[in-house]
Amino acid sequence: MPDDPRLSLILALADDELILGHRHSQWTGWAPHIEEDLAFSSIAQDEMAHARMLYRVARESGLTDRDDDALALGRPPEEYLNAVLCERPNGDWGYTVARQYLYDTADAIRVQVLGDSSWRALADAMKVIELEEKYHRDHAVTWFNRLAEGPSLTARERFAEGLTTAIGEAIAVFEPLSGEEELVSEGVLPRSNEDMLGDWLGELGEALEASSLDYVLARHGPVGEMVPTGSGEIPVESVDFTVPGVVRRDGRWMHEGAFAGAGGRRGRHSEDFLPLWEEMTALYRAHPGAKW
Amino acid sequence: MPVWDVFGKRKPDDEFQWVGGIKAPDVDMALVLARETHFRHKEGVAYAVRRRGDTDAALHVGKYGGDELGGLTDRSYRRQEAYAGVGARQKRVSREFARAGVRIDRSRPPAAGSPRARVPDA
Repeated sequence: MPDDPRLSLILALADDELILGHRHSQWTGWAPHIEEDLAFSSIAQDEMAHARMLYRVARESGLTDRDDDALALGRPPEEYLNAVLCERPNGDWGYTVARQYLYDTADAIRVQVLGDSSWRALADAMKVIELEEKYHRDHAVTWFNRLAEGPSLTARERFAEGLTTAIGEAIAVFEPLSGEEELVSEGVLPRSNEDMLGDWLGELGEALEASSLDYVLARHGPVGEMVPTGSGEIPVESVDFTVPGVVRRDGRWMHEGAFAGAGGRRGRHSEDFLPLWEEMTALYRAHPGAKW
Repeated sequence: MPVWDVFGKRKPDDEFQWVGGIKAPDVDMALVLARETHFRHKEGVAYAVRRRGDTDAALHVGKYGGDELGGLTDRSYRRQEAYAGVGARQKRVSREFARAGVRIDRSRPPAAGSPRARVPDA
């Protein structure tokens, strides 16, 4: 794990965008229709641009001497701190849209919170990112309405299945960071991940109830098993990675229980990460230091 | 699926001009998709859609302004800029090769089998 908790924070943010951007880009040429193909590819590019911007902030703030290419493509798998949600294969369009909706609504909360960070360079970057993420959220909400309320029952069912699969891992977007207490006390992270998780679940619950889809919250799947991604030198956690449960209390959806074990924020990933990493970094590893 | 005409303004004082069309199930989706299909390279400062055939209906104007169309982060990687200044570079390389006694500004020899490669009858 990085020594400076600020590096854990910015890598978590940037790696989420990079890895999800990579998955989104795999729809290019395959999206349901050509207009969507363009829009979704464009969103993929936005996410990668955000990752690049954040990697540069990390370097310019003196947290690393690696440039954006070296950070994006030159790290061993266990140094990536993205949430497992972002690395999962795209599945069908129902899962893809469900994941985009869950991720972008969760991301919106932390982007807004970090806009008030005491780390000036990060706060400035968040202000720019927030303007672009607004469009991603619009895209996700429009598809949410289309699939949840549209005339097709099959579409609604597949969307609901996607939500059920993704929600557990979406909760883990808010897995506590290494050194989080220090980040919170210094105002770098103005609110804790647990605090933000509470806000997100409340809002998500309302949106799902409005479409009578809130049953997916109670029924959501567990997070998958984390597998070793490194050389074996990292100590293997004895506790399986689990996320808090979700309950409805006093008319509001909220989390119950705590995170256990280690997930993406500690560099622990699912079986889907290594193949993604191998493909994404193949060219960089084959030609170290190449420029064009 | 319904077809929507897409309109745009290049400058804030322009009138909306027709720029193309897209397919979308409803007006919300049409606006979401029109933004990226027609304005992702900063082609305009305002955009709108109208269902094709509804010529008397009002335009549905998109909510994103000019500074947000086409994005705010560095998009240089989206543009093909490697060809800028290629002519000048070629001339410079030719001059350097000529100094070294190599000619690269002659036309390419004809490919074997092409009509130009055939020896004319004497």
